[in-house]
Amino acid sequence: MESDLILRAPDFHSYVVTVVERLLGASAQDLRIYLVRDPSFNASMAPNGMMLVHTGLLARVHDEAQLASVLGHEAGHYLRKHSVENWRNLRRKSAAVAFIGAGANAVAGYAALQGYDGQSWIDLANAINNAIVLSFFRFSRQQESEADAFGIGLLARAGYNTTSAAEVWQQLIAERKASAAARDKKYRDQSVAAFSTHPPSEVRLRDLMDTAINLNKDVVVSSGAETGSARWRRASQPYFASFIEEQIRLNDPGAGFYLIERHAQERWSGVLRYYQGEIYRLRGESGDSELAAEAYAAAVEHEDAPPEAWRAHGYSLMKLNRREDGRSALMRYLELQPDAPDAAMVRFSLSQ
Amino acid sequence: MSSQRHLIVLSMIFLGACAAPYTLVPAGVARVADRAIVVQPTSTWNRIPKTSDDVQWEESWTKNGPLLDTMAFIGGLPDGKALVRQKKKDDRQVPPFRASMSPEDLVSMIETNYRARGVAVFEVEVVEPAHFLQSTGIRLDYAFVHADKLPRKGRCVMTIIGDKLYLMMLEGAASHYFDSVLPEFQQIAASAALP
Repeated sequence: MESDLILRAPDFHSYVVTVVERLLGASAQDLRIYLVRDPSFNASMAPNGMMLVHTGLLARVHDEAQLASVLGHEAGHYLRKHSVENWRNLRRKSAAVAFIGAGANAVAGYAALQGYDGQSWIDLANAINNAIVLSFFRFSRQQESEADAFGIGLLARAGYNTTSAAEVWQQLIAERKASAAARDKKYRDQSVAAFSTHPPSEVRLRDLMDTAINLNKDVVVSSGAETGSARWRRASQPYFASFIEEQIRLNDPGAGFYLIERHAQERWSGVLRYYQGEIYRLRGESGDSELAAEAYAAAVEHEDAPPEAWRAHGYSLMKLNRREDGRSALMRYLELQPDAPDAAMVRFSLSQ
Repeated sequence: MSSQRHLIVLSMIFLGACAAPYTLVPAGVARVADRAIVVQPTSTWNRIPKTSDDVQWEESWTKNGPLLDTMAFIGGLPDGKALVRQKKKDDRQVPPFRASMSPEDLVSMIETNYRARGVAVFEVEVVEPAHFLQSTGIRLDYAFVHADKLPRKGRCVMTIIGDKLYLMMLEGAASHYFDSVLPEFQQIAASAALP
């Protein structure tokens, strides 16, 4: 039985496979791709060719080239056999750590028998072992940088816009900063630490941009270099609202506003206006009811407004004491969605 | 109350931490959730020790262990307080309860309580009017999947009395446990009264 965390979207899955095929050519057939319902920005690659792509990543990309940049990075890990290298590296280093520890203890024991203090040998061994452990994390960060560069190479070969990878990171950093600011705290790059397996995000962004610029100098970019935004919009459109919903329901308002406004740079839609209202409604600070009501009112003006926008519009008007307008909006919701899971509750609200 | 508790309880077992013990709740009359609700279970339950996430108005019981089923009570959560204890600077937050909340607001408050704590899949199945504590409230049925990938179901009945939120919730593994505990949950909810 398939996990309930798998996104059931055969058409969209086939589309993602075509992007991987365009990037990797024949090697793409070694990969199995799963779309996973998980709001975190992530994709991962197992050594057996299993690639997991989170819906939290799909919510944050704006065109096919941006998607390809992340898939290319992950494929880079696989094609460069990073998991296997990692395992060998870990095995070698843990053997060394054990050997050095055991050796130091033996020497310390012998020294103690001879009447000397053996502790300095153990301290020395600990220092060497700490350096080896840190080198493991550095190794992993080097692999990330290598996969970044490899991914950009794939993008260039497939004719995608090579600055897409940098754009994805730029967006992510801006989102994390917006999230931190909304909670009145300082933005902290979680990858700046000796024990981080990934390079610092800002460093990564700079490297990606440099690689893209250098590649653009070397490669004659003529008819290639495309973003594939129309294809991305067509393929993701049926699932777009669910990707956004997953993010907004986390009630991380800074991140939510950034995401909505970034998508709205292309154009405002009923879906975006509805979820903008939802951010205000969940945040619930003073004045947010009015702002939510405005956003819902704008949402229902769009043809693509989800039926839930009418429900939210209705309840928000009722809160503002515009009962009759609120009732009409709730009735519109029931017309559009007569079998909604909450139809009985909405009918009850109308009867009050 | 939260699914996060499952992980916390599990890690407490593994670590052999000196946590407060589970206590038996015998059949009969019990005052629960800050002594704000009186219920009459017809069989014995296990009271789950509180964690640092829990607010004072919350109490949870289990029949077969919290990974398989949990019944939670919220007794008189005041306006402005959230269902769980959270830090002001947490990125993801459960919206605080407001006495002015619409049915839609109450449902999304419960949903965010799950999603903000790592539940990726949450489907609302039924929202309808219900009687609870001799007052008209809401019944919410839902299904969800946590990172442990075990499909679970939930039912929540809630009402607002004197600007305070009163709530009873059952969540459990969709296969067997939820359905097996549901009749007694229904009976306890029907027996619930204000002291």
